[in-house]
Amino acid sequence: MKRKKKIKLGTWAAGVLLAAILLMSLLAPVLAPYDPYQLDMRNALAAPDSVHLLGTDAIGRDLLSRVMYGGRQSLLLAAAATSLSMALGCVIGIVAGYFGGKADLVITAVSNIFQGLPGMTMMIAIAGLMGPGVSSMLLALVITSWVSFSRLVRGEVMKIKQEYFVEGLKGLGAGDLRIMAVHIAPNLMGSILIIFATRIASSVISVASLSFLGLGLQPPTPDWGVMINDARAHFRQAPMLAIAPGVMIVLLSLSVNVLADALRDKLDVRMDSVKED
Amino acid sequence: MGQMGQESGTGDDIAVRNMTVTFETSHGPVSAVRDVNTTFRTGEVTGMIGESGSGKSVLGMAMLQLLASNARIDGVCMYRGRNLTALPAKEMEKIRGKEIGLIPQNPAESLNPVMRIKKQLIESVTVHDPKGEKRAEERYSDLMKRMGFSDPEQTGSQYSFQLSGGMNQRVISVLGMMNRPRWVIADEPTKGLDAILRRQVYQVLREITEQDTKNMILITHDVELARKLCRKILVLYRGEILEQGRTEDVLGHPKHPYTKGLMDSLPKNGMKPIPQPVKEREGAAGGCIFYPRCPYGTGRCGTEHPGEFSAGDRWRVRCFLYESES
Amino acid sequence: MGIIKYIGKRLLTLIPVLLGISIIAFLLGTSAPGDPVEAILNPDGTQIVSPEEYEIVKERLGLNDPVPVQYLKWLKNALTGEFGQSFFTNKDIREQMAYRLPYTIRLALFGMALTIVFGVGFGMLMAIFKDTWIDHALRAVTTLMLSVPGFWIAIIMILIFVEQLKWLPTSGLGSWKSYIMPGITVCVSTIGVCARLTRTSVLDELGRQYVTVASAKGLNARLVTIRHALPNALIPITTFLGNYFAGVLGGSTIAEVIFNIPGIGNYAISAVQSRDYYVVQAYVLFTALVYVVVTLAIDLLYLVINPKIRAGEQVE
Repeated sequence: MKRKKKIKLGTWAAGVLLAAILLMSLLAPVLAPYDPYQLDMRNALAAPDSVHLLGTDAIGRDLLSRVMYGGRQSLLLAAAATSLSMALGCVIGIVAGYFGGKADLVITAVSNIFQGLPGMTMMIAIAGLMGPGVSSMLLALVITSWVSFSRLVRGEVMKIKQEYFVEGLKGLGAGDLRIMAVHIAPNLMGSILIIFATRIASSVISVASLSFLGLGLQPPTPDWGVMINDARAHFRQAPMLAIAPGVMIVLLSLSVNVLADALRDKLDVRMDSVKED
Repeated sequence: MGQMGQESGTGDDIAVRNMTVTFETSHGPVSAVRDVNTTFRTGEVTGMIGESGSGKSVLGMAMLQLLASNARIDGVCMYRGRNLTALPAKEMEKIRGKEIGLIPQNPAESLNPVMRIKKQLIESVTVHDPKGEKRAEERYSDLMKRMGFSDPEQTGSQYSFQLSGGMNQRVISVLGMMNRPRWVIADEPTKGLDAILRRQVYQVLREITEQDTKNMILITHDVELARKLCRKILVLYRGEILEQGRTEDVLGHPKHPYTKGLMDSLPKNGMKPIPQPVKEREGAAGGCIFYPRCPYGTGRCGTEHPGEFSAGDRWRVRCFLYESES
Repeated sequence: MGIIKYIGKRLLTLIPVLLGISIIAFLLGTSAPGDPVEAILNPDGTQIVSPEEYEIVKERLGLNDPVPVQYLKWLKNALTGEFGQSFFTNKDIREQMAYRLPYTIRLALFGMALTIVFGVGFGMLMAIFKDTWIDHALRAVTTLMLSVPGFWIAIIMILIFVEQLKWLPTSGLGSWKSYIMPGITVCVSTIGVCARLTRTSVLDELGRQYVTVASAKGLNARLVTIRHALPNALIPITTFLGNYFAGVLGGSTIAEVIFNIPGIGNYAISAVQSRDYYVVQAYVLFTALVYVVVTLAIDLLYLVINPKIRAGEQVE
């Protein structure tokens, strides 16, 4: 692992891209040329020019400014939901793996139920019935993503328990939780990070999809999903309205996926080369 | 280099010259086989013995170009006028299974879990001769019966996980022999087997050398099996041949300190273990590979790499103790 | 005999899943904000509802029963296929589902076909040509595919194929052509995931001993991959494809909404927007049922592709 692996160009590009998107979202209030909410009916659906670099939307709001603001809500929401899922998944996974037996049985059954429901169905049902809003989306996202964390953690905890058993260390005595933390954390950090990253990317897409269906963030919020939904009525005259926010979602998701891939490659140092006899 | 008494390859002999196999790993290059020179003669069984990690299986697989893509093979392996290490893929495919058969190690893992046994065996003939179905069928039932399967069709309709370890071992022995290859490489055929099954394997291999081909390379850590079957022995340690010669010489009157140690560690000789490496001697590059564990090691062994010195007819030892004899 | 036992065992593990989901489905409905009685008697919020009237309707709907009783009654009806009527349209939910299901099934089958052809196909190509430009190019393409939201690709397709090139109809279901864009919408990111899964599982298999032995018999790389590695790699891929199919059957909402397909997803979204919770309950339960049926179907398929299960061996 000491070997300095050349980091590929694509990975670099993805890192820079992601940093740029995050920075842009963070600094949107400073960077954006206009107020993203400011209407200008006389200037509606303006083509891109030097005043409005990407043009304006159906009620004359500056598209570039809205695009810059457009990731703030969904990124925050995705990060919060994924962190919550991770915390929940880790706790549930440790409980299941550590106690085993009935607790594990029940948790596995519940996990199966949640895995059995298509994520989108669940999100639509929850977001729809609780009414559109941040809290219902948060709930929907957490409910559909905690299982992937808990499965991973459960498996790892069981493996370590097994190792203890094999080594004849008479199970885990006092202070096991500390031992678990010490043993499990390093083994899991990489995998959890990968799931965390890819989950954030897919959550951003989920939020955008819900917003697109009118069940997520609501207009006039400058949000990529909302913007694409708004654009549906006008994209024939002004295709940029649909293209620009979509490209942002793709770039964000793409950069996260590429980075997660690189991480996966790096952690998966397989020694399949020197096997013999 | 002090290489003496080089046997020249003739006829169907397989002659290995200066073969080095290096794996490109994430920890840098690792040599699994180093500067191997030997000739596998037709008409006799040659045994390659050594502990796990000695490179014996890698050497066998390198001769068939069956190593992972991160392996680099240097040197030559001459067979019937062709260098197997540099043969294009298409040519190599014609040699594998047809000219040189393989009886692989780990029988259970060597068979495709979702393909019926018979289909896998027949395939080894039909891949070389698409119209050879009938011939393959005959050969199949003949070999299976010889290997002790009274109902080849019934066994052949099963999957590897439905057979016992011993049965799988016999199945892959059939697999290696399906095409009546000129040569056969048997890779660790007794690994992980109990005494009864080891005996069975011995009989299977004997049967092959008597009825099918005498040209066999036996890769094993099982010294007794090698003694019973082989005419010639190569002793490998960490990728190098430390001693090679006739079985009665090498196993009867071992010369290299490692071979001696290996013999002493056998149960019937009192299971005296080979000494553990001496800390201070480790890590010295360029010296004898066995130096850290060698009871006879001198200062010279730590800095200078010994060549292969002749110790008699067809007998070579990689140790300075025998320098004068050559 | 082993086979029947195997299927029986699988069914036994699926029943709790189904029950659990039915509870969730039921609770989703009852805990939703909004009052169904109010919704029936006063749909537009202009009527004055007398307390007597209110009570009568509430009693009729069974809302005075304790929640567990309500659940059991609902489940009993659901088991006989009786989901009741929509609050708003007064249409029979079962009939509506039956009318809409074929559209969704057609869409799901189309998406599935595309995923098998391109997902598994790309994955195979990447595995066979590992580390060549083909692998690198397809890897880039599939990573891009899995990063693209379906609804956006739908809009971009409309821009290109309907507006610019005028090759395809936007909506309506006149011919098979109308399923092209919705089909792509439901499978674009799945193709990306499937291709990558195929690549890894084929490569995993290619690293196994039986593959080396197949080469030792003299098979060339192509035959080794197709005849030996692929059938083994198909086992995890089948699971993935089954889950995907179940997902599309229950949730191709976006494609159905954008392309005006009167399928199950479209039904659900309009029910959700109007808080028509009987419909939503039925919908969630339906998707769960689909999941169970598809899972069983995969298990049956395993009987074909995985001899270990056929032989009654314990797998896992």
